[in-house]
Amino acid sequence: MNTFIAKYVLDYPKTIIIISILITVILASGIRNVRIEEDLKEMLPEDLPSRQALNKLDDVFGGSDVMLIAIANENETIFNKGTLAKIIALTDSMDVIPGITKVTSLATAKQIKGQEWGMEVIPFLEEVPTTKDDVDNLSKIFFEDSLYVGTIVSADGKYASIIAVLSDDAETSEISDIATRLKAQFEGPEKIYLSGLPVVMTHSTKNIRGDIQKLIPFVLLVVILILYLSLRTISSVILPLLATIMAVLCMVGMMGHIGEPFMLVSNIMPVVLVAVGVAYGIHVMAAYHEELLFTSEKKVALSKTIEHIGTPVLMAAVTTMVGFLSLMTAPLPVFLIFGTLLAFGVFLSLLFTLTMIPAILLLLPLPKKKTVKNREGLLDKLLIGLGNYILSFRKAIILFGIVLTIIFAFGIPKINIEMNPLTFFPETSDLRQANAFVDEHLAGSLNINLLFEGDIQSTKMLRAMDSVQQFLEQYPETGTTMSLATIVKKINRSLHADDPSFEIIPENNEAVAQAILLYNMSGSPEDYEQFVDNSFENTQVTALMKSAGTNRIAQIANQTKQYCQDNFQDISIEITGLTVFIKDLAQIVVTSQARSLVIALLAVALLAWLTYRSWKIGILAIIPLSVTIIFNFGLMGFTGIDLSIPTAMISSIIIGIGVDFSFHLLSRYKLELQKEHSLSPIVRTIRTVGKPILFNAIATGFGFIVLMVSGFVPLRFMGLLIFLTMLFCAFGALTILAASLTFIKQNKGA
Amino acid sequence: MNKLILLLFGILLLGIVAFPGNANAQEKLTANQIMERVDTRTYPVDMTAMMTMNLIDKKGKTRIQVTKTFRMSDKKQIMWFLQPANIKGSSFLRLSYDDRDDDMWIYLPAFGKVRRIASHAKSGSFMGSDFTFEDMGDRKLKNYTYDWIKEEKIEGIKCHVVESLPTEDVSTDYSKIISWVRLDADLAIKEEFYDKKGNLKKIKTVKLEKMAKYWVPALMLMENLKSKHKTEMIFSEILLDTGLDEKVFKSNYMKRIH
Repeated sequence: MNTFIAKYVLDYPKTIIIISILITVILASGIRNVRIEEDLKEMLPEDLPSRQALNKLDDVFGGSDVMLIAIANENETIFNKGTLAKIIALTDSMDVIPGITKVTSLATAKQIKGQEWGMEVIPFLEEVPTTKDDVDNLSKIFFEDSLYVGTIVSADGKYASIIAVLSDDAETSEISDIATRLKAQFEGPEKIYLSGLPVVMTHSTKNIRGDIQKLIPFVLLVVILILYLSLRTISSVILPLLATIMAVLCMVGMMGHIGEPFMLVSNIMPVVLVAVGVAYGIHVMAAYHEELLFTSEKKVALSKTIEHIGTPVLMAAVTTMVGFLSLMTAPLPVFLIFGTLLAFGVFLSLLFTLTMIPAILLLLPLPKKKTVKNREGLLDKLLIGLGNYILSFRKAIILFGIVLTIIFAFGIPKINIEMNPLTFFPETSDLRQANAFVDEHLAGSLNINLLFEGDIQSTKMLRAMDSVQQFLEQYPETGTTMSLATIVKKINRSLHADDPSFEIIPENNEAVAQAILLYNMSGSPEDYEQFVDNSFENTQVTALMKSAGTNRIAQIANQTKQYCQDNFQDISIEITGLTVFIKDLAQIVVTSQARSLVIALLAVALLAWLTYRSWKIGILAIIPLSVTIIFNFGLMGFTGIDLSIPTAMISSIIIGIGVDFSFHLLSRYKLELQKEHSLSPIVRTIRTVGKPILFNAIATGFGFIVLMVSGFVPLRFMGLLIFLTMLFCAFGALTILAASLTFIKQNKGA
Repeated sequence: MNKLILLLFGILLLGIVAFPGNANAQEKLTANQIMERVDTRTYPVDMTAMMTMNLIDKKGKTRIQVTKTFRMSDKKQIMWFLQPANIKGSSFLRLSYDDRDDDMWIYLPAFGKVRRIASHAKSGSFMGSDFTFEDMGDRKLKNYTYDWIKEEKIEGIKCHVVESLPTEDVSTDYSKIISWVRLDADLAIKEEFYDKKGNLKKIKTVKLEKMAKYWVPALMLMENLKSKHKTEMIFSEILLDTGLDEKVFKSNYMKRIH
């Protein structure tokens, strides 16, 4: 096949170049259609029960995302004319923004008050109180009515919040921008904080865009530097770069054509492709320059280059594609897109490298001969030393490898799974600070929504809701819970002369319906429309939770679900909300991670088996990979790097790229076994192939380390981890794999 | 498709025919005079009717409430809930006065109690509908200043469009109301309600029916533009001037459907 490519490419270089440009132009034309997806929920599979429940919730109640504006007056309390005026103004300003369906604050909340003659529903704060007495009275009334304490005003009175519910089709970023302007306008002396998922989403859009703008030039710079340092001619820098950039343009264009947006994780695809793809160019250019030492005939040198380097480069690309494609087995759409599109990008990168680069080289004048020989004598010596060392201490090295693996394996159970999108942002960010603030002083901003279906105006349903609320409230992480049951209890109490012992669900269904009728007449159905639909068939219990670790969140969500199943089997209850998403994500990521890993390892072993016709080699090929993966996860466990969506993909990337090192070593070793030489085959293998392997690892590793300037914390760790694992894997191939190989040879020879 | 085009064309034509300024208005009335005529129109002495209320959400899901209602002039009203079953037997009594706020009571059989509804609950919802108590009561003439805007036809009926602005100390939910008053009935058949921030909040449309010498609403529709929720009130089995006994409008009559 290599000869076929070589012949065709070198006979029609211009056609090849034109076709390459055409492919690029056609595919890249999709770039203008590429958009950024800000909705983090889009990361979840459509058929996940919690996502379907959320769609239903959005459908019934017109939206469920909550944005929270917190006002702090720590010097006194929020109960003063100035701060109260700001609460009213902020509430009014939020209320008129299109896309906001409901605003709850001290300025909209109503007090349900039982009187001797009946029930009153009175707004707490319609207009700014004029006298000090009125202010004090408001504060007194508010704290007597326990319904909203801790939610819209903190228990100590120093903090107030304005909670806005967004419609499902709201322009999140616009609303977030308006809120940011309002914050600037009203801040001082009070402090104002913005929190909630819409704010997180807006920040993540900014970060995704920022990452794309910042990381691509950065990775190109790094790659140019590495290309120049390793190959030292202008054409060796430009051509691999050109092939890679064309592949990136095609890949991103393809996203536009198939309508896939950039999201968190997929925003680093260009960087990954540059880091991976440029290595193929390095191999071709290096081989070409090597061939030119023996001939000055361009065409001969190029066809030799393709013949020699074609298979290893092809194998490297295929295994990388396998690694990426193994992500397809994950149910997360973002993994699927990431995996398939990157595999596609790698394929194009390979195609351009093996066809267009030789075609251009053929048309370019012959590069000046360079007689840089043995410049890396030191490295050669080191590698020979390493080879000898490995040969003499091969048992010790394998034992050391095993011990190291065992040690790192102990770190794996310590891994903390973290899927809360908030933790993707640095702790110093405004977003994290605002959230910490809301968690500390107010009810929190992570929500759990329980969707109940059936006859809502029945005691059975309301009692179930009430029990679930009480169940949730026993967790210290629960800030507050709200539902129609809360309101009905309050009405019942007020109908019984405000006797607290009557703050319970009334005795029969008629009483429930009539309590609601009374409320309708005294207050307004609008006050509870966020809880119940018009036909009283669907209702929701909402709970605001403080941020906690994903494990804890998963525990709470699971226990709540179990509680519903154990106690109310005959009531349709669906559980959803950001909290449940986080739990589901964690579950999906961990299981799919394990599956992709096994599939990728098996696929790579199979490929090695087929290529080298030996199952022993197949197994050996995956040894450095397995050790590296254990090293990676162990490191994460010991250093406390969270397993999140991006870091979960590392193992697939390691397998896809790291296996190249094994392959290079194995094919060279096979070659060296057939030769007679004073040095043993393994030493010769390490000496010749050690350098390209190390260069390759360094080039790819440094390509990934660019991710450390990303705006997302997990992407930073991903960059660092891939950098470390690349080096580790290369070293593992050169030591553990090499040492193991010597045993195979003995077995075979015996 | 062709039918649709024809229909659109027809509507367009209708618009052209209907809208050129009907300059032949008999006599120029001031806005105040118009609203005075509305205020002093002749009422039935009493009225009995069944009222069906359709509460319709933005997706068209409908909940139905049926009440039997008695009215005497525009001052007294009592109604009993017949449907849905879980509120059957509940009742509502409202007494209006010229010089003070209304008195309102509700009777809830499940609690066996008659409760008053605070008079300041003007923005309270009338039976959970998009009509508030304020929307259901008559506006007092002196509480507003009026401006004549234009004449406009609604479904072929000539209307005077009048803007009402509340005077300083009136407690109301609205900053402005625009009414389309038809002079042959001395009643508004469409009203737009603007909230305190000046945004159009609700639109009411009324279908009138002439019974004996009176114009009575047969259907009232209130649409809330923000919540996209609407309420339809349909009156049927209307009986006028049957000589209702005034004592029906007392709280002890609330406990039994009449």
